[in-house]
Amino acid sequence: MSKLIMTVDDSASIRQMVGFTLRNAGYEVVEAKDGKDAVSKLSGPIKMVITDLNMPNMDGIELIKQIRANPAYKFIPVIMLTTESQATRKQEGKAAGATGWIVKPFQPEQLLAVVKKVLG
Amino acid sequence: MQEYTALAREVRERLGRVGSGLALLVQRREDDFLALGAELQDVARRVQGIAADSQKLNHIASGDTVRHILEELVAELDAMQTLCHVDEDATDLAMLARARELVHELSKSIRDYARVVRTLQMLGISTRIESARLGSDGRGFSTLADDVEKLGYKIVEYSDRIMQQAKTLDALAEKAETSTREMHEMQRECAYSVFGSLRDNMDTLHEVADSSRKASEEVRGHTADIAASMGRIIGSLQFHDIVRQQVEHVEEALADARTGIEGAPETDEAALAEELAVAADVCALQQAQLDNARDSFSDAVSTLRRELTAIAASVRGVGRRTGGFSDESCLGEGCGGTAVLDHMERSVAEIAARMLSLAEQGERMGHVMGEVAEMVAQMSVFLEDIEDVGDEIELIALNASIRAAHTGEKGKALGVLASSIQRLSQDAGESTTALATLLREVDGVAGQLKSYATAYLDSSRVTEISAELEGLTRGLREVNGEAARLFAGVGDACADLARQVDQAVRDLGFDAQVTAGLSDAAGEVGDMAAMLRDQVPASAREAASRRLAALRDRYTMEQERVLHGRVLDGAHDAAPAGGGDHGYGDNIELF
Repeated sequence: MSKLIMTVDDSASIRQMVGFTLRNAGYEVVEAKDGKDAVSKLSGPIKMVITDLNMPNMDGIELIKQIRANPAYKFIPVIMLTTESQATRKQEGKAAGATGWIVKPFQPEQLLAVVKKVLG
Repeated sequence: MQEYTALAREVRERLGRVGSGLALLVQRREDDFLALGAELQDVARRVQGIAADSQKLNHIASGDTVRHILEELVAELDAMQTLCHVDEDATDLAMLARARELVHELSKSIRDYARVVRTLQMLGISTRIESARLGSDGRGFSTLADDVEKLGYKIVEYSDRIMQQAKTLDALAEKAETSTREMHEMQRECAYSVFGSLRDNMDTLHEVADSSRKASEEVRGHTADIAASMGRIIGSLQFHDIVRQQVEHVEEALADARTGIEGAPETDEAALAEELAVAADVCALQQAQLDNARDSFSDAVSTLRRELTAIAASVRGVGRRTGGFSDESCLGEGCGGTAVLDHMERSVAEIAARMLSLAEQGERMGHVMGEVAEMVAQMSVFLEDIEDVGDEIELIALNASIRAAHTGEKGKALGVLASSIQRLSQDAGESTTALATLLREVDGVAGQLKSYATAYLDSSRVTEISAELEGLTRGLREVNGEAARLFAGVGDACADLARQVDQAVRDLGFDAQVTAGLSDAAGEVGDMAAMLRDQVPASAREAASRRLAALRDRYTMEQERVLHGRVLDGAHDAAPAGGGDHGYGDNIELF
């Protein structure tokens, strides 16, 4: 059975490309347009979250905190996918509980390699 | 003071004009990117379908099914060609010729036997005359004369029968010879013409299979190229979001600069000068950011065009190299492997018909050979009769010698006759031996011809192989039907998809408006930066530079920081962000 991955980004084109890459590789994808939307959709067998950092309503760091606070998703991998590359922000993400950090633009094979790695 | 006030108003107004809606310039293109992304997904889905069908097609042409059928076909053709063998040495013809030769020698020997008969007849008459001359003393010789005469008749009768049989045998052998020659001709034609053509077709099919294996590799190469292009397109499509953010940051920076100018009291010349100095640096910096955004956007769209064009070319490549069932010069029906299969099917049907005809001819030949063998067998019965004749002559000669001895001096003449009969017995014995030798040899040839006849009569294997060949070509035809269906589908799909991608490339024109807008904005802020730097004193600019350091924190992208350093600090390219490359790339770090 294919694994369900949530992609969170305020850019529809990024959600589209992440979704396209993952679906093409056989994963199921649920999309959310920001952190708040993601929290509301956080249910069911979601195995992983790929989120942007800077988003309206709720940013990626807060989303990670909310995910880690939810016992059902406390240990799922959360990957940041953002244009942000500053070490301090990465550290912030890591402290919040991010599993990894991908700076945009990503190449499909890179994203899939990371997904494969963190999903085991 | 009035100079700065007027300048501040002008800059404020220009900043408002250039900054307002700048981000929208890129944001508005999101639908274009989404439409392109949706099209890309459709293209990817169709490419997957085409690649799957193409590989299936190539697998059909080069895979186990066709390989198995081809191997079976080769084996059956070998078996059939063995049945339809051409006896290059023409052993059967040589045997028939030898049979006829023996028959002629036999006829000659029988004619020689006629001399024995004539001598016997003459001796019978002489014996009878001498017997009469001797009167009562020669009475026993008249019985001898009767025996001699009877033997003469017997020999004549046997000779006639043998001669009659020999003539019939010769006629049969001649008929068999003619039929054998005809059959050899048919075999030769079958072996060299039809089988040759069929084997050529087999070679072509093998070439088709080989070509399909190569095509399969090429299609894999094309699909890998398409996947690589897709990857680069996915990378480029993200530049809408990247450039949008960069331009949003520009808009924010320009708005902040404007707000700063608006917030400075017109009466405070130093504060106004500092805000204008900040605006000068912000404009210079945003010019660089806008130029970079424009170039990034332009590069991304160029990559989209290039990679989409490459995808269209690869799709056409897949269409061209799909299966050895066709080639560039011959894509229509009845070409390539399909034509070969058509021809093969016809050839197999022709071979089957010829083989059956050969089998029928063989059966007829078998019957003729059988008759020849039967006739020779009957002739071997005469061998015993002939040998009996030799024995009888010997007995008569012995009897004549004994009687002559009993008669004494008077029977001297009869003694001479007895000696003659004895010599005749020897001559007849030699002739009989020669005749018997010939008949034995004829019998041997008959045995060999009989085994040939048995082989000719075995047409069951021909029917069996013919049915197997038909089954195999039917199998090949079914495979070919599936291949032709797939081929037509893949060809059409490739052509349609390539057209769709070409159209997408032609429709891809939204970058012109965006790059023009970004260029105009960059030009405008560049002008403002130059104008402000020219009019604002250096002291104000020094104070402003400290404030601009805060702007650096607003950036999210490394490229923005690099440009900031380059424009305002005179720094060279900054060190990369330091992603931990775990083999995934330097933009990825796993914690």
